[in-house]
Amino acid sequence: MEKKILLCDDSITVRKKLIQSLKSIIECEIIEATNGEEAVKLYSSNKPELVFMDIVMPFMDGLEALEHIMAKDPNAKVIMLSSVGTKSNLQKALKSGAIDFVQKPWEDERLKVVIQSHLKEVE
Amino acid sequence: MMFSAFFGNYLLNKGRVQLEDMKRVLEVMHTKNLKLGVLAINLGYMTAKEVENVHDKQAFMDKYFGEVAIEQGYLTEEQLEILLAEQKSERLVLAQTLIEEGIMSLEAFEQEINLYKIEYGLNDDQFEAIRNGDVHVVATAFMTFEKEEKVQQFYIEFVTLFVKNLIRFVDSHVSIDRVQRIDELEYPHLISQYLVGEDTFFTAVGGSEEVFLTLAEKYATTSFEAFDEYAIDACQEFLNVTTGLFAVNLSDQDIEYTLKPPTHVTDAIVRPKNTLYRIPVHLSHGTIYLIVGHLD
Repeated sequence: MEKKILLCDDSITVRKKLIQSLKSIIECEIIEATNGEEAVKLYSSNKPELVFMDIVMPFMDGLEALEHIMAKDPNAKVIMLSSVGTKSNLQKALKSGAIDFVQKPWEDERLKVVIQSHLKEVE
Repeated sequence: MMFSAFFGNYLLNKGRVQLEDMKRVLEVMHTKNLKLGVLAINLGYMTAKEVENVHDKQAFMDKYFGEVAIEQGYLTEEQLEILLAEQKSERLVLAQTLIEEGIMSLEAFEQEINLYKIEYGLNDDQFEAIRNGDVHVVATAFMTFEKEEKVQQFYIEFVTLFVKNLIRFVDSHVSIDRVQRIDELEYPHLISQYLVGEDTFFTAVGGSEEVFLTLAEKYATTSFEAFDEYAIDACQEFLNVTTGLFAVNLSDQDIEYTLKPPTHVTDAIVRPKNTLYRIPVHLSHGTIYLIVGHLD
């Protein structure tokens, strides 16, 4: 059965590139959210196996969305994917329950390693 | 490509070369091999007159340029070795192509190099940095913000990263011009972003629709029918990645900034209450203006 992956990024450029990268790594169903608020709702209704979450977004940023998702599901697997991999953001994200951090711009090889370590079924 | 970008742009601005000629030169320069005489002038080993003397003698003898130059005492063995190593590089193909296309003589080229160094106040190390594509040293040479040293360095680091990202993601042919203090400016399109920390750093990129559209297409590696919301998004994301990486670099120095989402406005008029600076950034498809400053 295909894994569900939720992508949350306000940039369509990023979402397109990320979908392309993910499709080359794993067969999956991809759900898209354009801000943190939308991601929280879509997480609840879809229960994805993995979430890729941007940080800087309008309405609700990724760190706040992460807290909401972890409050609903403490076992959620959320990977932060952001250009702002500062010490402060890394600490906040890990403290709130994120399982990994990918710095933008990413390399597909890095994405593959992250997915492999968190979704064991990936070939 | 940095040397040809900077020096080529200088020649255009000075009217020494016409735009059409420069376009032709850039097209053909990739196919050219560097000549030792051009390299020798550029490195300051020989004068144009000495190079011509060697060429004159070569017309009557079956000898290589280097052999004759050493015989005449113009070059040492060590200098010839350096020249032969440099010959494989692309960075001075521009000079040779200008000469071969009949746009500029050896003497004129030598003179323009000297005028360029004088005009921009470039010392030998800074000029060498342009030849080597060292963006940070180049930015330092071109940027004077009339600010305290700490702020000056902050801006230089940002400009350096911005140019490096342009080279990495958009265009290998990038050059910058002197920084200008902004009074009031109007841009057809302006993409901006705030970094908030111990103070607020503002940065923006202004330019025409055509230049932004090409930037978007190159960054997103796709084509857009118009400068629509998708193309705008690609430009915003380019700025966002740059400011994000800048924040990471600052964080490594224990300086924390958070980013606000980038925004885009059309027909923007910038009337700064605070001191803002703009840096013209020339790409192969046109010019964009990078704006930096701190807000109260």
